Amino acid sequence: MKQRLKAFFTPVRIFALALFACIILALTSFFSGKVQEALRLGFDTVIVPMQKGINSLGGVFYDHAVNLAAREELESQVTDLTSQVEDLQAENQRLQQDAYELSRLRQLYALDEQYASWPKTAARVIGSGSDNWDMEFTIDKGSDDGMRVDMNVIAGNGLVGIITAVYPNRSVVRSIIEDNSYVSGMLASTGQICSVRGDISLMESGQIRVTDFSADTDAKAGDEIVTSNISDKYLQGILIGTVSEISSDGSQITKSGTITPAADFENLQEVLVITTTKADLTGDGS
Amino acid sequence: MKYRLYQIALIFVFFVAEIELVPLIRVSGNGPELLLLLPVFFGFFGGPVNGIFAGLLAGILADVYGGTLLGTSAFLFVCFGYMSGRLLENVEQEEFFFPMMLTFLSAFLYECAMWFVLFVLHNRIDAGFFFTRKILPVSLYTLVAGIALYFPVRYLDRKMRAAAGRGEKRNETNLS
Repeated sequence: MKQRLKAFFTPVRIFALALFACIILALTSFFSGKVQEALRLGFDTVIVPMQKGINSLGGVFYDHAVNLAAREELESQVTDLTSQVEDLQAENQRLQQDAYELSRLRQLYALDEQYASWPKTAARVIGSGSDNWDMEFTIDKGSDDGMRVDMNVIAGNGLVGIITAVYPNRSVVRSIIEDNSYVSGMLASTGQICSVRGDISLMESGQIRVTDFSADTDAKAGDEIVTSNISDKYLQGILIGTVSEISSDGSQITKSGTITPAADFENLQEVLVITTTKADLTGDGS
Repeated sequence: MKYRLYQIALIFVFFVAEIELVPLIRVSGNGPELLLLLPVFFGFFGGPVNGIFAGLLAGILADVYGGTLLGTSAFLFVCFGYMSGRLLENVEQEEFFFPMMLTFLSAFLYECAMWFVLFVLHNRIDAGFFFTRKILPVSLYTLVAGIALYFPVRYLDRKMRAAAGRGEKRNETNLS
């Protein structure tokens, strides 16, 4: 029996069997994401703690090096900053009065709080896309920490991306500079709608493409683009970036160009996840 | 059995390096495909069956953490492992040039396939950009990584082979 088995498993047959197994895997995961999900969950239990460990170890060394280098610079900055603080305190006083007046006027107009500050959770980036073709990255919070798919992710004051998959202890974020990413944006000043698309050929220069501006738009270099009111995934008014150049398309019906994102994608370490989704706000929770 | 465990351990080490180390050494978004090296190397050291085994395992790992459909990389890696085992069957074990050539060829084919699956199928051909900025740089980078890792992996492989009592045989056909 053993001899027969041995005789059956020639390299060619093993090769054919392996290819067959791959095709079966592809077909099953094409029709349902369950296989891939189960495998990922299995690997996660091993990989995620390790990633966290390696990251914090690297962080210790990095912080130390940065500390040494930055110390002198910081000392000179402190004196500059103390004088700035005094100026700002005076200005803050004035602005608080303005804010008070604004809230009073808002109440008068009964305006909704469109731009209210959304609840946010900080998360650490623990891994970047594991191949050369995409710009997904992984954060160290998952469904156990209340993360859900479609939550917006920001860093600094700029939009970074959106959560596309959630696992118990990590989530996958698709960044807006990734090739298949699409965000509906608008010009902050006038509210004209445009489309913001990631483009792999611009990724290297850190830019994103902006398209579908109507030809009569007054967008020009330096204008701010924010997420639009008609987007069904992104909350309104999050800064995406500033226009770096814009020109007419061949058709003369639309204009397109590139924008420089406000978030720094080169050095993403900590991000903020907005725990309200657009679906929560519009009331059609998925 | 002992030798298989060693192979699995090495694949896992390469996988961790791929997701932890490669992001740090990327040049303008392109890094080496470390996992691709193993099927080619094991195919050369141990014949087609070893290549297929390493290809299947490394491919599934690459798929689980990559952006493509599960099974795509596994399919290609299995092909590379088999190809390496078959084509290099009669090449001297001391040879350096042929396995490296096959490494480059495999990486090139792999990147072309990725380009095809991720972009050409979505009607984004742009061949000039992808060949000069993505496919060729990644293949070359993989070749460089292959050159750097070839001798350490070969050394380890011979040690483990001797420890597992396998000797210097490459046309192994059984799975154990």
